[in-house]
Amino acid sequence: MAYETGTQTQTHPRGVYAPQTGGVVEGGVRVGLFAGLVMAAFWIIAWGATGLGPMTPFKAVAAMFGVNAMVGGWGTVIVGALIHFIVSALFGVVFASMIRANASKSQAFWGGLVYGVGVWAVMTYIGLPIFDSVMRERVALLPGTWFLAHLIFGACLYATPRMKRDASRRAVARTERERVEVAVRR
Amino acid sequence: MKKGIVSVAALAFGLAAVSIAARSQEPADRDREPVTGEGFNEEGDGRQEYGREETGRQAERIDAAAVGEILSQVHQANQMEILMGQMAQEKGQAARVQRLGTVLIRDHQFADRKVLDLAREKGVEMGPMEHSFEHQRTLDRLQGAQGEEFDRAFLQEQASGHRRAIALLESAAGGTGDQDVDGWIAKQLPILRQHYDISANLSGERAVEREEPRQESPREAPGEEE
Repeated sequence: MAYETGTQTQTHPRGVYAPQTGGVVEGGVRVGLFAGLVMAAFWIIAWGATGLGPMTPFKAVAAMFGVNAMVGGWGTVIVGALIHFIVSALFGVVFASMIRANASKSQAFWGGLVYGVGVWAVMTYIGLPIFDSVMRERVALLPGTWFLAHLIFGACLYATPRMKRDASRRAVARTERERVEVAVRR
Repeated sequence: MKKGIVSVAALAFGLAAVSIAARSQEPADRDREPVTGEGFNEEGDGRQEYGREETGRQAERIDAAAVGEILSQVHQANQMEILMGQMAQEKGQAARVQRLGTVLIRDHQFADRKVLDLAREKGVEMGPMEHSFEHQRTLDRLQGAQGEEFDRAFLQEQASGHRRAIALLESAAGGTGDQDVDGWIAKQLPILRQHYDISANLSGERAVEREEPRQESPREAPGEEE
């Protein structure tokens, strides 16, 4: 079974996919949001357990706009969570652009773990020092938790190849639908 | 599709730019913030730094002092901050003051657990918790204040109390002769600076220092409580 993608047709035992940008962006955003959600849940539990406050990580993220965010209300928490998910989606897209759509789950899992360590290094040594010194100082209190959170993020990226393939299928189906609609109108 | 990539990238760059712009509009970089008041001395160029002179004087004392004395002082300061945080939760009028109380309780309880762990590891015995005359006077003053007066007094006490605590830890930093204690101090100092910055921002101390009009503490609906 094969689909015409307009420019090329591809088949694979795990399904049909097209190595088009749509699969990378849509699949990457979806998997990034999923991994970011799991990471956020871990943060809430871990920071809550230490007594530093379950919502403190999100306030610390929002503190990239100023330290007063640490005494902000739910609005601040929502801003922090939004930034977290945007960054997660961004890292998801980068990973999706790096991994093949026909990679196995275990390849994606181990690749994701390595990628998670990379994200941890980038955030710890570049991202936070430049954009969010408040968060950097807070995570220094719980370095193990911070590292583990990124491993969890990386592990959740195991779903990337499937999400890329699904996104490509949806893109192909959309194209097909549009073509039929145009033909019907004519 | 390309639109998607451009949108995500634009959003990320936008966030970064807004963050940098927001931080550049803050009164000053926290690490170089001129701070006036007790424990702080003035440089020839008019700028001031966290307790430089005080640091010099205290450094000699701390060199000789036992690690236990530092831990004991920090333990007492933590207990004091926890008490003040509880007061802010109960008596604070502005939502931000109440939330600052929560932040103080959480951070200082966390810090105190580490201090007690360190003391146990080092075989240091903590003396009984006693409020100094100064501490007791501060607590009495806050106890007697109500409403906006409490908020103002609380924020001023927080700013000056944290200045003293920062000066104490800066003078001890790297000089206790104990790697664990030095490491803990290095992690704790930035958190104290955060507390100082928040208190100074909310109390308008920074605005006064910069000869700008005093800003009122922002009021928020209690419904925004975490």
